[in-house]
Amino acid sequence: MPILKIQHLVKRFGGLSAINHCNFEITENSITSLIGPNGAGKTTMFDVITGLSQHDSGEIYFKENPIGALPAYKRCRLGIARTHQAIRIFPELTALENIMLAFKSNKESLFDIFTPFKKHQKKLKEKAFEYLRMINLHEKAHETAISLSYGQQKLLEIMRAVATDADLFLLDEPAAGVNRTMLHTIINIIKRLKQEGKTIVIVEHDMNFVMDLSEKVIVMDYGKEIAEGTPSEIQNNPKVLEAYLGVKHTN
Amino acid sequence: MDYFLTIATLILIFIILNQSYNLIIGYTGMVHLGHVAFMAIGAYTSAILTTAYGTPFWFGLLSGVILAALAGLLLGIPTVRFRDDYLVAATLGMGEIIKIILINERQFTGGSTGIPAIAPPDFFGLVLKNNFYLFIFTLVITALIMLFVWRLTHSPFGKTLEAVREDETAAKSLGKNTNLIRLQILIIGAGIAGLSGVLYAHTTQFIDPNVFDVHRMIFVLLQVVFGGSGTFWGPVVGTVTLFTVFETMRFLPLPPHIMGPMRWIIYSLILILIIIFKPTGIMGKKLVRKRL
Amino acid sequence: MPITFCYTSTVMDPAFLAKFVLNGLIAGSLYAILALGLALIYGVLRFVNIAHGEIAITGAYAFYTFYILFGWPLIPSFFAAIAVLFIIVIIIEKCTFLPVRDAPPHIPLILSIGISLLLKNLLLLVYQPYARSLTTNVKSFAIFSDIIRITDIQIIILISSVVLMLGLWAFLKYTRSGKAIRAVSDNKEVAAILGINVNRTITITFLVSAFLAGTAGILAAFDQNLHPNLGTFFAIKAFAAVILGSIGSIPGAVIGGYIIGLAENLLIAIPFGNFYIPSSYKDAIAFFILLLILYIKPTGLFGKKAEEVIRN
Repeated sequence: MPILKIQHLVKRFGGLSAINHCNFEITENSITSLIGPNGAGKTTMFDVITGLSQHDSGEIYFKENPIGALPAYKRCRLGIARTHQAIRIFPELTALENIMLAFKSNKESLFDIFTPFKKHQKKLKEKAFEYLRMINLHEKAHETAISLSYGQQKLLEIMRAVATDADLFLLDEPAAGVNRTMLHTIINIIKRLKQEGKTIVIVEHDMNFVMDLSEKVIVMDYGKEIAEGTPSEIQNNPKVLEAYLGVKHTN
Repeated sequence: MDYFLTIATLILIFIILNQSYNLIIGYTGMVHLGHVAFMAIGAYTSAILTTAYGTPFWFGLLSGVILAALAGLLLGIPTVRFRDDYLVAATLGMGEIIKIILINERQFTGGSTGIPAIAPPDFFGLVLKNNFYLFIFTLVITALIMLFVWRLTHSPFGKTLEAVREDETAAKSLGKNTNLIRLQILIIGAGIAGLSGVLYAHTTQFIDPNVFDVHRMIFVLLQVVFGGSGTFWGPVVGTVTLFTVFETMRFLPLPPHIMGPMRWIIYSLILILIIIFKPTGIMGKKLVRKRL
Repeated sequence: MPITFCYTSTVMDPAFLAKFVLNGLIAGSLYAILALGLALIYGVLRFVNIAHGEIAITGAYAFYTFYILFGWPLIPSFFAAIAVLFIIVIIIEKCTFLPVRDAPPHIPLILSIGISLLLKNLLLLVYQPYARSLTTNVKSFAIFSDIIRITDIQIIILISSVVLMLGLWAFLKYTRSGKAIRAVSDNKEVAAILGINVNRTITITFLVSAFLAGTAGILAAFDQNLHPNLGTFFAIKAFAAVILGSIGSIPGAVIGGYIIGLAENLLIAIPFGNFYIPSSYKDAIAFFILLLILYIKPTGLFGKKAEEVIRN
């Protein structure tokens, strides 16, 4: 059963179609990679799925329900989490606070300030520490996020997405710019999510990472899916080579 | 002694006003210039109700707060979604427009002569005539407001406020209804500003449209930014220092037509310098330039 | 021009209507030029310059100094005033906006609030809070009927605003600097990669904007009177015009300016049943139009996509 279904999706910027009648499905509890040359529309696809930008036509189905009209925050609450290509953490908040903001049971509405929240907060703090321990950041829990290194910020953002307890994770270039140890941690996180029954979609340029990890690869070019299949099928697909090597583009 | 008590009471009232502005500009990161207009709504509502209609003080206070909060709601609905430019453009006019209305609707507001002889606060017959009692009363209310702000900013809701300020997109991706949060904080801020207006009207016992002009607004902005926007004690420090400087300057032997502009020239220079060199204010954290 | 007559008829006399339309066009011309300067700066720096109104009257006061106080002829006074304004704007830009170029967007916004307060009070200090008049002998001409009169100054305002708009259009379209401004407005990073000097372009934008504002200020000072408090009202109306015509859009700013000018002159003239909007509320009309636009079509008439203006 597909957890995510993209149907005839179109997103235009001015006269340019960043996504041009794109169709694909993501199977539940799978690891899928979305690859393609620069400017193929991968990040735009994530933006449109999460509702950060509004698509022009077509529809997005999440767990068989259309979500195209929902604002970004509602889509997150349905169970879609993401990370960003350029790191988006809350720089002035601590690592711990960054994680805690992701919890769904955070008692964070305005009216909750009139109810006791101390005890509940303490429990959540423990939980957040657990998440930080998984990425070896528990010792830096009370440091502001901006003071962490690039790789640590990246891990923190991924962990923050994990902490939302979503069903579908959209990871935008998780492997870019991190060292080998951290890459290993990231791979472990992704494998663990998969074991827990989650679905993961990755946009990545590191082909080793993509081919090792994913069960299915979708190739995008000019805002449209041009091929999909297992990693080995994709590696031998002439269309894909064409797109990457810039040989004559055919529709 | 009486003079100092009056000054101290006024400082407390402006601490309330500035702390509510801090919630909006400091904790949530929305720049708006209509805050003094909220204060005016509170002040005039209570003054008109108690003087012209003879309602008790508590009713004037409640109405002032509610009407100011309502104005915050009406301003917030169309503007919270958009970039700061919209809020600033919409609110820069607000101060002047409130002034035009106050001057022109004479039958209610007394026009440019204002409303004199506003009764001091009273509670069920207990009139706070003495300046000392007035000071204590204001102190209690200030403490309550500070407590409320402390509770709010140290709650999970307070953290989401900061998250919204730090990174709107990330906050949305984490399921925060950022527009609702901003609207809520605008309403709360407006309500507290209305409260400070009510207190101001009943403390000075006289209000006119000039109390609530654009200069006053920028003074509020300066006090918050100077002390440290987004910090709990910053607005308090900013209010006490700058208000004291403001009052002391009265004693300088300068004619009013030089004194008036000179004072604002100095203040605008302070604002410009602090924004360039330490936008987090004197109580704020070390400066971290955010990436674009 | 203050409206000095009163009438109770609920039927609109076409001559009166024409008079108000004319007044609206004159006010609209000034607002359009002001709004253009605001839109240009918004284009390159993505913030509304609160000090724009004060820059306009600073130019007008500089002109007043040369023209009235020094008794220079008209044209040299104009150029001297613009030169002084340019120096002031360059100092402001280099000392305040340049150091915070990479800061989050609310920083230049607050900065411009400080600058507007500074300029306004410097003017109050130097020129005192009195209304100043630039001219005493105003020639006026009757058009069609005696009710519709137009002064020579107002004719100049109508013509020069059109000239300025066409000039700006040609400047942006054909000159190197103009093209650079458009490129930087479109995308700063790409413009820098293409070898455009972004900082220089931003300075030029400030100067063009100051030229437009200063000219509008001088023209307004001829038509009405000059007062240090005028700047805030200029800014409010220019903001309303810019947001009405979609923030950052150049043609939008012009149309927005004319709509605000016409609206505030016509709305106080048309009877709503037996009720007239009091003319003392004239200055409030722009604000209410702005609020209305924010409620019904916040992206402005020249429809930008909402995505470009929402917070992110």
